[in-house]
Amino acid sequence: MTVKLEESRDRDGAAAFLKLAEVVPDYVICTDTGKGGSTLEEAPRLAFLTMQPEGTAILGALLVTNHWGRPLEFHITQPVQPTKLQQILYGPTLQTYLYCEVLGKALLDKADQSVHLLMTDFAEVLRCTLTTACPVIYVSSGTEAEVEAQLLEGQAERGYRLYLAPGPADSFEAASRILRQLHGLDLLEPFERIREALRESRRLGVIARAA
Amino acid sequence: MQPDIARRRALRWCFADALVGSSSLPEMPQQRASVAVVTLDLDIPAESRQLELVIRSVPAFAPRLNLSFTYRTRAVRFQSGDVAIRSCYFPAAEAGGMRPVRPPGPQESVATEELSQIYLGPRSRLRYPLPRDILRTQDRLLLLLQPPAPTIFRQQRLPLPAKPFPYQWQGIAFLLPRHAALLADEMGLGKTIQAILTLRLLFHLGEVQHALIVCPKSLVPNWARELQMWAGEIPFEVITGEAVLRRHFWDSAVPVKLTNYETVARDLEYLLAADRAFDLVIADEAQRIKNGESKTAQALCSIRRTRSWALTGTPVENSLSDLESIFRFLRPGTVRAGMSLPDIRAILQDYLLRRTKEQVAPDLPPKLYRDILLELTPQQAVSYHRARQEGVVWLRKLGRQVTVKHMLALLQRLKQICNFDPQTGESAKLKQLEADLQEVSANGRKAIVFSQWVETLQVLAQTFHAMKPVLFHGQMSASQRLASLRQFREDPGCHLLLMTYSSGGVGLNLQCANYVFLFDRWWNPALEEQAVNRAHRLGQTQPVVITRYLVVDTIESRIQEILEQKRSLYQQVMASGVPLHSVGWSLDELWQLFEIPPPHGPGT
Repeated sequence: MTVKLEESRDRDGAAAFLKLAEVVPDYVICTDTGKGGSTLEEAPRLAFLTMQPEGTAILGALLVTNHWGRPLEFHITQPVQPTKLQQILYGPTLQTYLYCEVLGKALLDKADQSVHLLMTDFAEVLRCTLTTACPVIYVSSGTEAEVEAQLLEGQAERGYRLYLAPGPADSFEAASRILRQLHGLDLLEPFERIREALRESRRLGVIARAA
Repeated sequence: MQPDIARRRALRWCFADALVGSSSLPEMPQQRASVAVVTLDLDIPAESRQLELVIRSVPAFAPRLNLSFTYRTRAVRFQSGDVAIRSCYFPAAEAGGMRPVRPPGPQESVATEELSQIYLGPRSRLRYPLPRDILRTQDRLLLLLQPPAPTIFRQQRLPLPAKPFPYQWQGIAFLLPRHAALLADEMGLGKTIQAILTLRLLFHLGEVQHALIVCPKSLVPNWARELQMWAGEIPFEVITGEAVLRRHFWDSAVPVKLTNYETVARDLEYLLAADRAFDLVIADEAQRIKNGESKTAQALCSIRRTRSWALTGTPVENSLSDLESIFRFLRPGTVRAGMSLPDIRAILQDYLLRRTKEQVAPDLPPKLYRDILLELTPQQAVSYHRARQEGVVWLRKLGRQVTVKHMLALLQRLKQICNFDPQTGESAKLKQLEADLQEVSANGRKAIVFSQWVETLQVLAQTFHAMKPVLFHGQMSASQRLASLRQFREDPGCHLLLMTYSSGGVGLNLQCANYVFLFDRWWNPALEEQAVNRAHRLGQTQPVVITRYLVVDTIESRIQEILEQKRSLYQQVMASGVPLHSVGWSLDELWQLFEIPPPHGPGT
């Protein structure tokens, strides 16, 4: 198992990245066609994108996994403090702007591997469809009243519901197909892992404390 | 693709035991091994990348898999091991056709829907803090970002015969990243299962390829059964028999080797000479190595290994030096003599996981203790007092020459008289046991009777022949003992199991019994507790009644008093970490048993 850790800075220096990449071979899913043959498909890669408030700043974290949840890449940003100008310009949409266009976009750009499904536990990230071509799903633990997205399915026993962000016509079919291939993978659990990794990163001083 | 690359990338493990049954396979190079390295003329996909992916994917995603490719014939090396492959299809046009890789077993009938429900407890129970000895940031993060164990089992389609309890998943999370770990759950909570499932995960993750499990001899069949049940796809081999055969086993490619402590000590020279190394060594009932100077302990510590796990319900049996010895195996130098208690506690936090039944399974039926106080029969009393008087006189005569051995000789003699009168065979305990067992039998229940002596058990076996008793002691062969256990478990007419403490004290699962009788008392409360816990384990649905016979005004009641003190001390250490220097039996304590002062004054 090869692990590489590298630190880099995006173009405008707004966020520094910690990248953790595990070299795991790609998988293919071989499905029984029922005709004595088989089909080979590229196994879907999943991305779990979350945000973490750090005082008045926000940092983003992205975990790319294979279809059964093993980590392939992990990226985190340093906490980003919105400027006065950004606060004035974006007003009530500041959070969505930060989550999607600053942190989300930067993290997705940094991912080496293309992802097939983007999962988030922040409803604002549903707008990330503007920055990624893959379907975006909001994994809701069910506290908010209404989400402007299509309800895909609920996993009552797991305590979450899935909402698909508005997107191209085939995104529903694509998302449903990938979800079927996940064989009931707990989609809220990877966010717990990310949060734990963030706590550890902070403890180890990888993440700088926001002022 | 070059052939060497093909070999390197090919499936590392395969069920050679099942392969043996396939007539289409080429010659097996190691006929005597249950699993061997075999070379197959395998058809390889044209694209090398697909070869790797397909073969890796077989266990994970394809319970009913058909593969068809354009093939070239190459030699691919299959080694023992791995995953839930039910069958593997090769092109019918080529030699072999459909090749069963592993015949479906009963445990493979677990439905996908069931697998998806392996774990529905709180997610926090699936995590355990990482050990501090993993230092590199990327290593720590990588471990933290791994999916929890139930996810791996479910997504890899690894069948489980039953759903582990949430605390057992947590135990797996504790063991998984640790290269040195002491799992010290109370007896009966499934340490074996947790260790096997973690071992299985590490196999599937490619972290472990050669593992050694060392346990007391009496537990080898138990481990074999549990391995078969909880990790049926991982081949294992019991190392036993003549030296030549044992060497053959040590040299075989079977990934898991199971043996007892004595064999490790006996074969150490060969093990070291062969420069053999294991990815994981599990020491079950690790109190067996509490004496760090013993040959067994030193042998185990000498084995080259990457990971060391110790399993024991009683890491501190007599004194903190027990813990020191176990850590000599786990991580030498971590726990040392003379360390302060806070330091030891801090270390234990990182390496030790201990849960009690009360903590993890409040629903477990209770243990009900009955202390039956008996009086010696008149004939027993005469024999007892005569023996005691003569014995004390003899000890006093020895004066300063007296040793523990002398004391124990007298003690054993007196304890035996408490069981049976040597002249007439009268026994107050036997009369009581007859009455008690009558009730057990009438209710259709099963009982275990423990004694220190095989002779006592043989007398009991004759007395209670109507209950179809079975014996279990160290003078029996492993197969005889296994047969006894099987009969006790499966024969509804067999109500009684007669065991010695030393052979039946640890690791056996006997939940079919609801009654435990301690015909005489052992010296060590921890070992008595282990005996009781053969029946009081997870899976037990009824309360377990433990009856302790005690003859008043004899050496037994004195032993009982001191045992109670020791039990209290043990609980203090395990619960609050109160330091203790020793709870072993000192010479002074032995004198106290006779209620006479030592000839040399106290404390020497």
